[in-house]
Amino acid sequence: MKKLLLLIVAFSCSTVFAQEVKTETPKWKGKFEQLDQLLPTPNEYRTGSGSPGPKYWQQRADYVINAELNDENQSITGSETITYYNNSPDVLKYLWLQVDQNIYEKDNMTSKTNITVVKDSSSTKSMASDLGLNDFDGGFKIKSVKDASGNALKFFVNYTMMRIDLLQPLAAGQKISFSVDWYFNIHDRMRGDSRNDSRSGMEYFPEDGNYSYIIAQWFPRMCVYDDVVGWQNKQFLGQGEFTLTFGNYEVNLTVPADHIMAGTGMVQNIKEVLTPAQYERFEKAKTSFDKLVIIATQAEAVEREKTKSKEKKTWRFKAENVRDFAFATSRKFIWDAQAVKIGDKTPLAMSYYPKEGNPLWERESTKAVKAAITTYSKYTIDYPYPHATSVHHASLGMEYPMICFNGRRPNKDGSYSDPTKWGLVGVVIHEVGHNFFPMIINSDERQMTWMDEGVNTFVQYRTQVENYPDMPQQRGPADKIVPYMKGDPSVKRPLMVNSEQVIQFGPEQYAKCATGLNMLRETIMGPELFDKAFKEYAQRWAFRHPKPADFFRTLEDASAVDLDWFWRGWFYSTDVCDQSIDKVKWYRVRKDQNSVENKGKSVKKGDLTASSSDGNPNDFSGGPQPFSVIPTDARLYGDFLNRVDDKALISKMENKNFYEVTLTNKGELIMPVIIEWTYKDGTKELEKIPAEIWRTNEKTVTKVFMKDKEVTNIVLDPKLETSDISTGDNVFPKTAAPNKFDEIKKKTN
Amino acid sequence: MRKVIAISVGVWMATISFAQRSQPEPQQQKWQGKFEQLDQMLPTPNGYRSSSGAPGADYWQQRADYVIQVELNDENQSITGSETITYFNNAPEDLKFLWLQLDQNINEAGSMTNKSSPGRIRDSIPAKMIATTLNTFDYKGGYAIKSVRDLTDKSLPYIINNTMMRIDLPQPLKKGEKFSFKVEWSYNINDMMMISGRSGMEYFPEDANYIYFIAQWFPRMCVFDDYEGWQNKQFLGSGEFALTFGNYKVRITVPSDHIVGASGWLQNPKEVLTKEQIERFEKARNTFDQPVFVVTEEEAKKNEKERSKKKSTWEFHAENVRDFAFASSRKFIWDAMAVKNGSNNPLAQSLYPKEGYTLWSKESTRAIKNTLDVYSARTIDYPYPTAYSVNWVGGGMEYPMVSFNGGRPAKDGTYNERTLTRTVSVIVHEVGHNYFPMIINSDERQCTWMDEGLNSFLEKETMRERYPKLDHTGNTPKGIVNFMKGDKNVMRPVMAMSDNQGRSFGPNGYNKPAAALTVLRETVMGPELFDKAFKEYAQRWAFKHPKPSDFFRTLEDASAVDLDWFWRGWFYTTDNVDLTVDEVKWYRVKSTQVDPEKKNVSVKKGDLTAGTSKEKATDFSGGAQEFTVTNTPEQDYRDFKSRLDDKAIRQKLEGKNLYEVTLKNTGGLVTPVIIEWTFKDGSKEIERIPAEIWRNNEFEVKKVFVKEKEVVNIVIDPNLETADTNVSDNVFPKKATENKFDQFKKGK
Repeated sequence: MKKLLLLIVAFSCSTVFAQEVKTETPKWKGKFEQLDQLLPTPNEYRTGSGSPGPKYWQQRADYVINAELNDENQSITGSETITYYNNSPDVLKYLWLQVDQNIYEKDNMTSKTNITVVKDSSSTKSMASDLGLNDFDGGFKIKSVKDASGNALKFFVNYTMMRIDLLQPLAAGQKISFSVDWYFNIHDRMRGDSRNDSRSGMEYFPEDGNYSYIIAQWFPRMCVYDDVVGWQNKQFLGQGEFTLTFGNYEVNLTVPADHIMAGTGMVQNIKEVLTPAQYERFEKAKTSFDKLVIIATQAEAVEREKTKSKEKKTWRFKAENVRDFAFATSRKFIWDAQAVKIGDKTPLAMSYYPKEGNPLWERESTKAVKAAITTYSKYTIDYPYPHATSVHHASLGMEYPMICFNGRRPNKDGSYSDPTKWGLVGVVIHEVGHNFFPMIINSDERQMTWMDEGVNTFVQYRTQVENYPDMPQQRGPADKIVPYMKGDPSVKRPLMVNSEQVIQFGPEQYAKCATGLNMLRETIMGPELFDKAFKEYAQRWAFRHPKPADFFRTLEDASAVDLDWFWRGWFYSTDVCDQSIDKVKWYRVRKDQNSVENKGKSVKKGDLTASSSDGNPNDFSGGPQPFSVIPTDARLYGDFLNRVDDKALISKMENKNFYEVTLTNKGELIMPVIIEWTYKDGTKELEKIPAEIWRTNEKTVTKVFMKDKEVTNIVLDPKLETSDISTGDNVFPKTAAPNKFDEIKKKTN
Repeated sequence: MRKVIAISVGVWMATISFAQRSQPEPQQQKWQGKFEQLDQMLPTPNGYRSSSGAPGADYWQQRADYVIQVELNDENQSITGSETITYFNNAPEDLKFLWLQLDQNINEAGSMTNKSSPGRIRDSIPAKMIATTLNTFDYKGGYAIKSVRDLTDKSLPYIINNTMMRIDLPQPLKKGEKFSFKVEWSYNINDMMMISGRSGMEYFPEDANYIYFIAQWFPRMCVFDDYEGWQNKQFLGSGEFALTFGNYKVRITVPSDHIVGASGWLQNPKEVLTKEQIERFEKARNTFDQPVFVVTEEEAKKNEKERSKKKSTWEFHAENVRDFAFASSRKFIWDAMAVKNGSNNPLAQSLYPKEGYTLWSKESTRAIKNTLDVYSARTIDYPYPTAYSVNWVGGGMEYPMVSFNGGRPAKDGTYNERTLTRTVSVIVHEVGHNYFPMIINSDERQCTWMDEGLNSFLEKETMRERYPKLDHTGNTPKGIVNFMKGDKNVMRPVMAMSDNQGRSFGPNGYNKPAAALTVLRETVMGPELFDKAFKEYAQRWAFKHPKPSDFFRTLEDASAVDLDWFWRGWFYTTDNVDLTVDEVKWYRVKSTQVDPEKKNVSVKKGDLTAGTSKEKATDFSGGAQEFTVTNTPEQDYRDFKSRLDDKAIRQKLEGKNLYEVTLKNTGGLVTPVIIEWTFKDGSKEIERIPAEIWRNNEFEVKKVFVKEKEVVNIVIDPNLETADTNVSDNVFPKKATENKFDQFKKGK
């Protein structure tokens, strides 16, 4: 197209004469440019559409583990055989394993690099934690690393990473088996070494002298080797969680015989480890879809607390296609379960808790598990695992495949407040929801927290809204993120930073991301397009390793909504949304100018500007300003011989109200513009303008609206959907009071 | 070879760059890496796109074949169509859904374009303008999709998002498989007089007939490629189209007195033309020297009155095209002429109403021929059987084998040179689009310059070669100067997305890249290297989908000219060329010092500096300053035993004029330096220095030139080939009047 160019230029003279007005033009920041090289170039592993490419590959690691939990000295002794499948096109000379327990070693990188200060009246617990005063001999003690024929393999440990040098390089398509023997002391979560990692450990109950164990990061685990980072062997510092390979697990766990155990996978010898009555109840639970069945009762648990069996029992678990394995065991556990229909599967929703969790837990936990897997399956893929389990442990929320550990306890008398109840429901939904992100849609947590926590918090929000309509919502609605967005920019990081560099972990990686997705769904894309695209992402990347670019690309690919501006603003920057109504001018067509006979007498340019200074710029009290619509000059037709019916066009505009609205994007973040018009007769109209209105001027736009009725009030973002941090300037007529208030606030700040 | 380097650097520094030794210039501005390689600014090469800029070993692209039946309803000016699309998935991945473009939806009342376009009220606004701004015309635009079905007539689920439609497939379309489906639709044709666009109709009140220019008229496949996945970015109006190649069979039903031209070759002339017309048409296919009328003006005038109520169906076929458009009217005059083009003889055809007759019968078909001649020489032979130029009103718009072009004589049939230039250059430009982007099929939605810019460059080359008397400054370095002078905050780089260009759209899409390529050809690379490299790009990417990096890489790959600095400056920034002659110092060797016997009485360092006045010289009136060349000190020879003949070398400099020129890069864009020396005897010499002179200092360079003759005048870029935005400071001696004027301007 060429000479259309001429037309476009002419057109822009007529319609975009806005820009004739000389104001200082701010520097262009390319907020609407495509992400292009901010994303990795698509290739055969990951496509331009955001799906796994034709040569996409991922590694696999199968584990056979035998371990014993020693209740006497609270330690774990284990030995594992790992079979590692090299599906990559590369030859591997060494393998990297994660030895996460080493974060409890005296000499760990986390403690060394923690920032500490002396404060008056510090609590003993926090001082002990900060300065490492607790006498705890933590960390993995690796006893041996051997190949399948029993030859010792060379290895060295770099903090939380262990490299095993192979006797021969592992070629593409080959597998290798090797075994590791180890033990470690279980850490007491109460003690507050939580600065490093409180995701697992034990809780001691002084009243009955028993422990409850939640055991995770408990065996040397394969690092991920992939097409983007090679070995993901970035140290475990505590904040950036885990990056794990899929595989099958056979885990035999020996514990005191009176323990009740929950774990990743299904128990293969369930008959051996349960009483006949418990077994019967368990079988019943498998077909009980409408209410839960108590498999191990509170009375039984209280009895076991006292007897403290010295015998041992071995629980044999199997799990397929999981990225990790965790378990919980205690003689204190009560256990309930029910079946849930999901697609053609009937997974069990289960809960384990000590009597200290009741009655809250028996009422709410399994119910929340069911709500989570049902709603998440709707938004992503059908829940593929045989059970989803919520285990109660003090002050926590932590996720593993099929199993998670959740805090919130009633008062001693069994009573509990609404915040405690909603807290439990929220944490259970969140942690069970993690089965989808990152356990199945297996992102790299060490690198990116939002990809599991943020995306999960979003679906958690949807689950809560749909299943618990009375629940107060914290993370999701746009207005709830405003206090964070208003906050100190020096401690803000964009979402697209490495997990370890995040300062405001919860508000950013959880809440800001979830809010962003909620905005996409409700305001930018609409539920239909968003849900289709989000589900597409889940389907494409289920049981695979997605990267941020895969998420960004898929959401656009499946919806035809260009979101590069959104990723740029919400994920790559710390810009905030702050739109304001700068000016509203009200016009009506001048009556005496309307007659075609008068066309010779058109008002000169500039007349209008002169008269407009009389009107009040802050409200409509000055009344409409007149302007003239004149018959179209022949020159505007170019070579066209045909003509518009000027008279008809002008008569259509007679008595209409024209509102010329000037908006400023003070906060820099690009957002759609939502305008609510209130008319003189009290009726309202909501108008949604796509973010693309900012595409050629990122700072200021002016647009004309023609309305039949007279407008008394204009409000931007009336339903608080855009996280605008200052709504005082979203209103016209400008209200005096909030302005003063704003000024005072500015002064005090 | 390390030591040798050290020595050669030492010698070179000592002898040639003595200026820098005596007064080292502080680096005043921050280094901006203007000569660094583009590296991560370009996508990483891979199996699909190679680092040389060619399609990679695993390059693939999709294909879509169309069989379409369409009826143009002249009574209510609407289109009713049904199509069967066969989509070939050549991608190495399965597709669960397909995206189609519903471009007509840009004319829906609630379109994203309408919602997001700014506007203002001003007084005395013409009715048509404000009606356009506020979209108050009585026109119901947009597609009505009647059905989307598979070949067994089973409905396929689909969802429409503004100008895009997603069809969900019953099962994933596997790699290497194809899928056929049917779509039925209709829409109302827009009156271009009110709602301009890339298609529509023009009404002629005098004879009450229409001409229809029908394009973006059927749901078209989006491009699915290795870089974007689905290119399903919304059509907002500026960023044009991204389209897949395929074969078309189109049956167009129109009033039987209409003449139709289209993207393809007419299959059933016997059904739609008279015997006489067929004879003339066949004659035209063998006439290479002048157009032959297939429908004469008299016949067209007769048709205008006829208003046949009968219908006839024109069938066109096209192979390996990315789109299909057609024009239809009872007003059309039709002429045609064969063109020799490599081993093909494509037919150049023009359709126009009597309102265009005098100008069009003379120029249009010949302009097509000129275009095919020049463009094919620079790219590839024209591969299609025909190229139509259809007269419409307004600008110009391109489709495969057919383009709609503006330009009409006055009512009495006369036309001035401006109209002639405009008409010819539009035809050249739009016919030229057959090459870019119809054949070298870039993504217009993303990058306007890849088709418009390259095409404007060849348009200018065609005008220069074939119409030397007509003005084509717009696409030259000289023509872009005014734009380059503009407000940098409003300006966008060429590489910015088409729809984000705002007021930079025209210059950045068309003129600036055309000017940049002109600079490359004439100044940076030279015609031979440039033409070879440009042709290489066209050959590599003909009937494929190139990206900007493929263009950038190919031009370097085929020429051994490192152009990363050029792409960086001209395409990725808004820098402009503005060189300033800061100072020129004129020296002569002091003859008394040349005596080798006095070698120990050499002038002390610093004497020379002392002798020059503190004020920078503004002309040569101070005469030449003298300086001394001493014998080479022993230590400069290091381990070498042999010695230079100092005396002989000094003799070479005796009586010579040495000019030490200081240049400043005021505009920021690095550029070759072209110096014109005017000597006392009136003779001139032009010296060309590659842009690499700026590689160590992007803001200021000094260089010494040895001249036999005395120089009276130095001009940088005398022929205005670099788009220097301020040439008044390109001259030495400095002109006092201009300087004062400049100061005055600055003071203001």
